Amino acid sequence: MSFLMLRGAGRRFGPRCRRRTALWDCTFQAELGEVIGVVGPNGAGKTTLLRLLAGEIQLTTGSITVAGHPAGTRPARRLVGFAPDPPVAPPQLAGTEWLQVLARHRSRSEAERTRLVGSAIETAELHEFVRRRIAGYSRGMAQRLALAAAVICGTRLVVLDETLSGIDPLAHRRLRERLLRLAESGRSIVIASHDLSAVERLATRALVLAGGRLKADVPMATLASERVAELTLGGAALAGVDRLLARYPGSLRTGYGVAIPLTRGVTVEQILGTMRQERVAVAASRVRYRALEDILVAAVDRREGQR
Amino acid sequence: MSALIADSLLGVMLVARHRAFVLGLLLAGALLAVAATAGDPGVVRRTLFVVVGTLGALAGTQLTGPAAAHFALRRSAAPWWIPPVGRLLGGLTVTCPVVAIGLVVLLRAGLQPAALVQSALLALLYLGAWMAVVAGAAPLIGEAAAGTLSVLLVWVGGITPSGVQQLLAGAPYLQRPAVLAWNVLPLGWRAERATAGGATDPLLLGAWVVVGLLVAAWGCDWVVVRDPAGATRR
Repeated sequence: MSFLMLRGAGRRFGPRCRRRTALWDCTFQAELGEVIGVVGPNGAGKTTLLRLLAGEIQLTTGSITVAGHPAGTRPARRLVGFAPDPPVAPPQLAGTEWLQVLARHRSRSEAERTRLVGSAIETAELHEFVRRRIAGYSRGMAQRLALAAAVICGTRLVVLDETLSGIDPLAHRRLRERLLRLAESGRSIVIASHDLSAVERLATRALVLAGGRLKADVPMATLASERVAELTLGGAALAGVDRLLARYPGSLRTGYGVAIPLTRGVTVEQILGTMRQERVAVAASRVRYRALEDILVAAVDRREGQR
Repeated sequence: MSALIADSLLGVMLVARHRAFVLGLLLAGALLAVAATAGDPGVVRRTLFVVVGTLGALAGTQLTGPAAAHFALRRSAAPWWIPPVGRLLGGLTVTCPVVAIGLVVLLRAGLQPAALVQSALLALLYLGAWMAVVAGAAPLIGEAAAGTLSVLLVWVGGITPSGVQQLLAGAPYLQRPAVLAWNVLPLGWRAERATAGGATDPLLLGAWVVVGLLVAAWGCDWVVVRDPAGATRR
């Protein structure tokens, strides 16, 4: 049995007459030590998924288990730390006081609590301002405090909702490294973010959500093994994009041309040959690794095509 | 035990550092000083009940109402009853000095030691009842609504049910539910009547403490899902 299991997980909000489905039929599994990125446009159901994992809200359909315990139950909550967006902490307390309160819930031993708080401060780089009142924290500071709180509470699973946004690039880089170390030490991390490059660098897998549904479950290793040909088309040639999109499944329209995945035996030479045959002028071409953005855009395009 | 201490400490910090509560303490001090000049134990006792009821209502809003306090309840892995009980103990700890000051004023007004002990216990019970009721109501209806409604009830709660019946004589549809509510709620008239003896009034106040804590635990654990927006703002 996997550490984290979702089977047909779904959540609806609102009264029966105005019911809105935020997440529907979400199924995936994860093991300890995995870092899972959750990406998708606004309203895709990312926060709902994270709140369900953390036990902050209840499921409408399906099931979620954390180490075999249903999410939201006390044994599951003991294992899960959650950093919500926006971050939540009592403004009248100092950062250390808040972390101490949370640590007291996790350990009876004073030495263990000191270690927990110290390690969380280290992970989130809070040294400079942890003794200040939370009311005076900037957005980035509050995000880091939420991360520290989640690290204290999440002995096995750390759920982060946009926690790395609003943090300066250098701290961002160091925090990513610390999160990777946390995962190496045997904790699972689920992180939702709009920063796709951060997810690509941090996650071992990415879940792409759109319209409340899980559209893709992408192991990051596959991204590095796939290539995309990006063609820049000039002026009148842009009119031929639709034909290319139809001819090569999985192709995407870009602002200046088209991006075609080099999969199923498709090569750059073949594509350029097709362009010559169809008399479509190519201004420039390049081959790059497939990015999470390609998958996200394809998922959203498919959804809008279905409407 | 560690979780109980954690929530008690959190309760102390949440209440003691809340601006409205600090203002309430100033008001309490001023009211008790004015009551002390009257020299009548009855007036002082009535003032003490109003003061502790108001402070209990203000403290209750902070125990579970703010999004962060609510969030911390849900992050707790302790048994369901520990967070609300711990926070109530924390809130009582912060408010106890006011009860002690009130008792000193009562002593100076000439109240006998036995009556003084009884008044102290009743004041704590009344304080706990309002704190628990508001802590239970705040996650459900919001801290501002729970605080405002409870402070209003504390201030008019000295009126007896017969007084309410007379006041609403012209509105018979309102009269019956109002009198019923007046008989059931943990209002000041009941705390004052309890000083005359009898077990019913203290039992009812105690029952409200239990009901408030149960609702707080239930409301925070499963029923209410609050949007944490603005939680880091004062």
